[in-house]
Amino acid sequence: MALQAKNLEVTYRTAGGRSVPALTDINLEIADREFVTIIGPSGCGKSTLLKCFGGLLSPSSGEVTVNGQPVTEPDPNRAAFVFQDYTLLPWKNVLDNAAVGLHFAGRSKAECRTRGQEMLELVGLEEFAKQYPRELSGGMQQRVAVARAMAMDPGILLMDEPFGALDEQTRQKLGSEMGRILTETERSVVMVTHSLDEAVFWADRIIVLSARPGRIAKEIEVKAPRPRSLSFIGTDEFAMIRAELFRLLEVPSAMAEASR
Amino acid sequence: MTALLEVVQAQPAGKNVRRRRPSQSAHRWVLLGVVIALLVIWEILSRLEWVNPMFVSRPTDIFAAIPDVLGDEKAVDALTTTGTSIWWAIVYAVIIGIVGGYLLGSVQLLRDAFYGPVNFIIGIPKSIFIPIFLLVFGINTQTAIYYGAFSGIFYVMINVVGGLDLVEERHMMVARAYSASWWYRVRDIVLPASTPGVFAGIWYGIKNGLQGVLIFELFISVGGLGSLIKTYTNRLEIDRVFVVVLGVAVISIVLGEIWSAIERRLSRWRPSSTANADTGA
Repeated sequence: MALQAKNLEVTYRTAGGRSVPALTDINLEIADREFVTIIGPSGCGKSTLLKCFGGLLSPSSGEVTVNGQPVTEPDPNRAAFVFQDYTLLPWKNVLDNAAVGLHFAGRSKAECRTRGQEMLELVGLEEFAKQYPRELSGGMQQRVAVARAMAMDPGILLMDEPFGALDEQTRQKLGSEMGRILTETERSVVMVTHSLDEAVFWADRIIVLSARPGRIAKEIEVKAPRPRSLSFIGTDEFAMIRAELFRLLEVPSAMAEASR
Repeated sequence: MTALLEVVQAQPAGKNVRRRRPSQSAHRWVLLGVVIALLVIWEILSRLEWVNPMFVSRPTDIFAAIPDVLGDEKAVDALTTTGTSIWWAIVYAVIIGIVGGYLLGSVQLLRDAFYGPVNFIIGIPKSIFIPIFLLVFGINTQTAIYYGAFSGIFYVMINVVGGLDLVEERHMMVARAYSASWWYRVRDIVLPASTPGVFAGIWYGIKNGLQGVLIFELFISVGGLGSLIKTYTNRLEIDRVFVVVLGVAVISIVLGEIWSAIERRLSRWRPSSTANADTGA
């Protein structure tokens, strides 16, 4: 499912009535089954861009289309979100959380149960179907959030710093596991991240946004085939791209030059 | 492999058996001991006439009066009257309070207009409204129900509003991201998220509804336990007064325990699934 952003601009209005541009001049095309990571300085509009892709936020100008159809409101069958802080509903058990999107779509209880169970098996949590989120670790909760998104069978998965709240070790293990699952399920993924390693490890293509107002400063292609094993982190390609990202994000003149 | 590594923090369903700590049972025996000791001291002071037994009956006299009160037809009638009044006062307080609380909490205009007055009413003694209730509804048991409901409604409302403030924006965003309709948002997000406030509100509704009915019966002789207390007091049958007071305390404790059990059952998802309302029971 191809996603396209044309001349996208988002401007916020402050309580005092001042206009603050968050994103400007975003032109981007994401191909079917492509894995794109978005990285940039804090406050550059990464999450805002993701919300526009998913229809959670209307751009001030420009448009987002999926297969030529304009995105005006959320549609989890088209693009499903995975949020940073899991956002599982604490009063629903793991199975009901995994199937909550189907439940909201008015599907039957039996279908929700069957599909929810399948998705929990996919993320390796079938044994925990009847437990509540508070009884799971952060990594497990995030996998339930991934199961919830996958249950909708979306064409595009929109992940907003999905591993940001996890410790480094869990992040790496879960990242590797999720990388395999997402590659096997063959869908387009757009993932916002703060982590240079994550940005390189996961992506077919990395979009680097400049500081606010966010604009695309650079696009970097990662040629190594997916799914990648953790040994990819030790390769020259990984090191070179990581160094390039580091330079863009940490050296203001490099970012300014790339943005021109 | 990842699943196995993370499983350490969780246990499969059904293995979460809660065991009673040994100190818990010891704690109960200590409490019982304290109560018995207080009763013994009370009895001794009364027998030594350090307190006047005419105004403060001895515990032994009070226990001896229990069969008399239970055999008194008037007492049984009063218990039935008060029980029925309390039940309806609680039902009205809880239903009106919850509906009113949700309206107040979700419509900003209503909140701006009425949140202050509701807080004001909570802050003043409700008994000053008894004459108005008498004027409007007359001297009868139905008025006790209305006054009991009035005593509880505002506490329910204010707690429900507090519960609505617990609804988290991130959960509402999930609902939007997954295209939940208005009805699903209310049923699956707003109602469950606000349950801590609603549960606390229901408990305050029970407590204040009960108090309201009894206070009304004490002030106005419309029958019921409140009036019975007044009758026994006028006759200086203080042992019987204490029996009725004991009965009211038992009703209050039983209601509190029933509600705590219901709340525990409905709150299993919360980090601490023990009753959070201040049941005071």
